[in-house]
Amino acid sequence: MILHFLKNIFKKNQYPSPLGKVAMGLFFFLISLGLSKCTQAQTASQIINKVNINFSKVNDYTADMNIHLDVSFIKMKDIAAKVFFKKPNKFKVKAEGIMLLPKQNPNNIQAMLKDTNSYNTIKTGTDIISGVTATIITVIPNADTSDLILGKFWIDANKGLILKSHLTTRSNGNMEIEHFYGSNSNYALPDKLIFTIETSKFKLPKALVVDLDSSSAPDATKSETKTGKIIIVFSNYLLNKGVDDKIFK
Amino acid sequence: MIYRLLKVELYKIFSRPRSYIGFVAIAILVFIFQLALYVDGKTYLTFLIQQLESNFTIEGNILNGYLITYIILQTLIVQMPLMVALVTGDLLSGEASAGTMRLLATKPISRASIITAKLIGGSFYTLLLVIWLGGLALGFGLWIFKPGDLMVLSTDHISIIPAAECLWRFFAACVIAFISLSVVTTFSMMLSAFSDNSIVPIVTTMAVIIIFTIVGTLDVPLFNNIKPFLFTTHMIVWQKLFQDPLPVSKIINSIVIMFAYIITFLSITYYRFIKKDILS
Repeated sequence: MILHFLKNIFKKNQYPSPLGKVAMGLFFFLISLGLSKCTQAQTASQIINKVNINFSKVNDYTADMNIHLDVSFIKMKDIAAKVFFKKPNKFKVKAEGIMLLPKQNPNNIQAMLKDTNSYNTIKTGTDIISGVTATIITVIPNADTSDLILGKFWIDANKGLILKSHLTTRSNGNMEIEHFYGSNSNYALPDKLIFTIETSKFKLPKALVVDLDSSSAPDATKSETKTGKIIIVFSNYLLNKGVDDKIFK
Repeated sequence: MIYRLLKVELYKIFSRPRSYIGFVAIAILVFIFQLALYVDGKTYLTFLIQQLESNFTIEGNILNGYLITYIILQTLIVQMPLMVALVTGDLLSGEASAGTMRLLATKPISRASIITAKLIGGSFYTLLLVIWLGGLALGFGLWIFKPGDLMVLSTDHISIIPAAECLWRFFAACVIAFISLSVVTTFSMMLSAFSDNSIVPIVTTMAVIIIFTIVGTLDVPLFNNIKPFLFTTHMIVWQKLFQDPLPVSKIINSIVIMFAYIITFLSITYYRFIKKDILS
């Protein structure tokens, strides 16, 4: 009906009359309002599904990883590693030496979100993450026994990308993950992840480690719980080229 | 002349059964450590890193040859001064108590040459002991447990040293351990110059090291001002080689202080021995 009305206006005049201009403006305003309403109207489940669809395009991948630890009680150089993934949930990180990784691997979140029957979702607002409007979705697992108590995800609803996650788990307390995307954003594969984890104060008895060189006097000014950061940078993604099952053994 | 004196000194050192006690003790202890860690190492390590595992997933071979070597060195280097003192504390006073010093002093050789030969002989014995400990621990460690990154556990932090950097750090640790033990060598020689009884310098050296080590280890504020002056505080500086980043200035500072102790002890020894009336 609207189109018919517009056709009539344009038929009568080669150039739109003031009335036509107003009508056109109104038309595009309504269209854009409708589109934005349509975006907002996406339910939490629909947004999660969008994330799942993005990642479902990935059958397997390999990538180079650089792990940087910024934890007060750990002194180590950056670790170069290689990561392997294969559907549905095979995940392996290989490095030459000792490697410390966050308890949550990047694919844990995707695997958890994939099983849409195992949790309930609530849309709890919006936020701006790196200039992008993100919809905040809170995920509550159905099972009491699940390790995840509460998950909060900041999702770019248009692209179906998780920009930030905040996980409260039984085993590891709170963990925040910031996701940064590059050329593989269509597959929801990040270029960089920043894990912010809770670390309890590290203390070992002097006699146990035969440490004659340090003072073990307790520092009352320091809190017992601190946070640490693990920064993982991914590069050289090889997507859907096939990964041998032997790698995961 | 020094060369001939040195040959005689080395002959005297290695002809005494007590000189081999240190080598045998080290071999037995290294074997016991390797066996214990081979059998129960994973349980021991799980206990040590359980706190770390609550925050992180740990991948890789932690129980490797370098860690075994580090644990052995950390435990045994504390005992090494006692083994060294057993031999070097006897170098001058042993001759006096046996009555051979007077005979030696009648020869056409200077007293300074006698001390120099004894010092080189004692240092050579110390060096062999360090090589024996480092060689056995590292050789068997790498053979049985294979190489890997070294996870150094301290009371309040963890350092992970890449495998490629471990060998030179262990070599440097042995060099610093030799300098540390040279402090003990010269200290016991100094005491030996003051005594005509071979037991007193040995026991006194051991007692001083034990007292200094305990005082240095105690976390009592009263001792904090004393600790920098104890040579035992600087003798454990080899552990700093396994920190990342390397605290170069602290290491150099401790080495300089240890050399200052060595020079002081040696000067007193030379002065005392040259001025001494040899009556026995």
